[in-house]
Amino acid sequence: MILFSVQLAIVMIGASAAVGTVRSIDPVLKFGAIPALGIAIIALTGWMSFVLLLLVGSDWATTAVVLSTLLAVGCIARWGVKKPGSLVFGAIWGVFAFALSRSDTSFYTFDSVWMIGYAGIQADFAIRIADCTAFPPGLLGLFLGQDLLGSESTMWPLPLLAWFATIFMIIGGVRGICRTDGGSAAPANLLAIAAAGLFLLDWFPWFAGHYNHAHTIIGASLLLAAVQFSRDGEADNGDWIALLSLMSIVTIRFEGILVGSLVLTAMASRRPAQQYRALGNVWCGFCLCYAATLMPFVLQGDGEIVDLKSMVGLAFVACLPRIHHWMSATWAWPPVWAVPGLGFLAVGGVLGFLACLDPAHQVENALTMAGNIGTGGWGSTWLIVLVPIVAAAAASRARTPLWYLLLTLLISVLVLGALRIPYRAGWGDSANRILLHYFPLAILVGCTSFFALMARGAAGQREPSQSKEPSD
Amino acid sequence: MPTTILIVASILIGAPPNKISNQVQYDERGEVALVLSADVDPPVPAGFDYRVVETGVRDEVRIDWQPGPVSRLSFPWTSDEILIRNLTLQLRPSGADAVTNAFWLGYVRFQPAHLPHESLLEGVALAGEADSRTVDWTPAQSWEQECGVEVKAVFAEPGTLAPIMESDWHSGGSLSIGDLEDSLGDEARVADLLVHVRPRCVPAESTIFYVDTITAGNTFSQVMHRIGLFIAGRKIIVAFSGLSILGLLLAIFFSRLPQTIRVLLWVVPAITTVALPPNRDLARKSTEPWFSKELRTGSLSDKLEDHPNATVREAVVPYIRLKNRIEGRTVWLSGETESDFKIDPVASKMLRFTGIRLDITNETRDAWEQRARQIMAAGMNPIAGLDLWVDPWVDEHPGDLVLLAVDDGHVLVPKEAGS
Repeated sequence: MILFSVQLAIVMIGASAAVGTVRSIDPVLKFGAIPALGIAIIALTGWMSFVLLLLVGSDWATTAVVLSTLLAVGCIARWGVKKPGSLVFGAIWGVFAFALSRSDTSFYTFDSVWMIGYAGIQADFAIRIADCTAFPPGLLGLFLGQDLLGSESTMWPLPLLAWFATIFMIIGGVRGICRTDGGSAAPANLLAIAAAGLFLLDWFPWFAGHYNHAHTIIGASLLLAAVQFSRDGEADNGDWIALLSLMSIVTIRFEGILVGSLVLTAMASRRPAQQYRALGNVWCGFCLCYAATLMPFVLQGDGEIVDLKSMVGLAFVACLPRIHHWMSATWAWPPVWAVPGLGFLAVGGVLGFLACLDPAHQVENALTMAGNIGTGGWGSTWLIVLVPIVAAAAASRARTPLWYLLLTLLISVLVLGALRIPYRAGWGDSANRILLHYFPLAILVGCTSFFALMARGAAGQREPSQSKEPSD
Repeated sequence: MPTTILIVASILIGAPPNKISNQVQYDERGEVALVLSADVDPPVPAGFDYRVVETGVRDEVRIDWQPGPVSRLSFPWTSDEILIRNLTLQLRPSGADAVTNAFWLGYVRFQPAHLPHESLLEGVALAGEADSRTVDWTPAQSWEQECGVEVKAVFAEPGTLAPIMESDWHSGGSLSIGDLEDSLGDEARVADLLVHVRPRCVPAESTIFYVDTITAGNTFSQVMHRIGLFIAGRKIIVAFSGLSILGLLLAIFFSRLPQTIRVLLWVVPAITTVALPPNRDLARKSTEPWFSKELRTGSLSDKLEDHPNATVREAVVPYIRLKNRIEGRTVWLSGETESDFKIDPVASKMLRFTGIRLDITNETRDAWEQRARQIMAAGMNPIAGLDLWVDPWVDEHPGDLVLLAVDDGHVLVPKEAGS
């Protein structure tokens, strides 16, 4: 397979999808979304191709590539083919991708080494897949006939593409949110650029973002979905693009189902009811199909990947958006405005329950995670970001759905930690790396919280003077 | 439609970049090929052929048979990126017929040449008659003196060295292969006989370690943090963090200022703080080869001072001496019971809050010993799956640094681990 061609296809598909589908979105955000969209679409078409491959039994690499291309072209024909802007945006990203592809941005760690070694037995791996008619996560590289994502993508500029895409999305997101929040243009733009600076200059994401090569992609996809679903207004195709991003996370990370369900339930419930229902249906169906392809491993007792208990849990979690919609339609409860907060409380409740079951385990997890935030390579980053976020708890205006979503995702890391061996101190810890996925969203929420706090402070100080004016 | 055409065309005609950068090269199959050169010590003498085989997930010949002498091997990789490889140097008498003659195989591991360290395990000087039925070997003196050697015979497919039959490891200086050969029957005539020799422990002079040099993802961050290493410490970070919080408060409540100025009040110190190097160890780790070759004996605290990068995952008591020195690092202590280590509750609590992780397992001395043997038998990949063991003999060897392995980096081997 030809790498640059794949890269170009990714950005072109993403460009077409972004330009062709999302009309009302901030242009900067739209531009930044391109690689994430391209990756999402290709990953998902690859997954579908793989399922078809199992049916037709032909050479799977060829089938996957052909079907991926056909499906991608179909997407473009449906959504973006008539948009000349897609060519412009796609060309810019394409040139960017080409330039980046000239240098390897990866580095090697134990996991990377392991992945490379694992990829080395791809033949056995493929046989196992055929035997099981299933596949594990990490499909993105597999469908290309390459080794797994973690190894082969060392030659891809995808981490950097996703990284820069995230910067654009942060700028677009902060700018859009702050301006609609009543701020004037100049401070909002300045804060947006500063937010990009916070993201760009922090050292640890640079360091770790290219390790195992999926973190930046996931961070970009999650940010895209969160920002899109946080928008008010009528339903548009951007919702489906956001859903695609969440689905691509599922193909890369096992906890993607949990993350995606939380994002959908907390955020997409703000979208029009019919749209939310449709999104929930597709999401639930996709996750269950995906989980079903893992079932052979469960039945074989291959607990290294999944077990029956976790499968049941995942199935339930996948249905959360749909369950929530049903509750809303039947009982008119919970109200939309309360969903993000209730989601936070619910996950917090689960965490509390798990903590009661094994307090030492959870305390150790929490302490380790807190320690890693301080010493696990992040330096002062989370302090800088979390201070305005925590301060926002005092300002109702700043407690936006995104704010609740971020907190929910952060404590969900501890919930995940309850299901495994304790987290460990060190930058390479699982929880520490999951934080990378949420870091772009944290930057966004931190900056918008700051903006809201600032506006609140100004309002609070204006109120007395305004009340004075009549008496004067 | 132009988009469609472009996508299809790009897939059809794009060019594969076989060589992506100077840092990592790929062979025609797209596999990452790394990155080692190695000093051979002692050198392969004249009269022997050598080759290098990479072992691991699958064995692969990295350097095919070449005639000696050679004292330094070069691989077609650059040294900026290091990936540990399990490399075995194999020797045979020059001109040996692959069909009938016996072969000898020295068992050697290498370090990247730019690390100031000799070969991990010294090569085995082998001697003997090509058609001898009993291998007469002369192990390296240091091995013999340190803890003895073990030897194993392997009959292998000529050329590929795929094992056909092999003996167990035997202690001592000679190994009769007659029984093995008899059991092979006719196959013995078409097999290469390989004799593996290994020390029964890791000699004190050498230390198995795992090198994990990590290069940050981009030049920019490296430059930033090289600079940061010199200008910044935690105090500066704390100061800027304080400034950032102060700016945040001013921005929120100092409403008479223009909004733009208020934004700057927060973001300037915030960005400055974030841009400072977060962690000296990690920053250094990102820019320099990172290794530790002597983290083995003596007091751990002293060694940690010598090697501030070390993230010790296993260490031995007296841990009480460590708790103030290794804050922020993870130390795993494990043993059969807590009483094995005389850990009192107060100390245990302190360990937790100083970032030291106490992990008491049910590993017995025998299990630990067996594990240590396995690790050293493998001899080369001490990183995989090693959750460590504290030396249960700590009472017998107070003050010794015992134990294996380190997160991302080092392996500490107890002196008597294999004995």
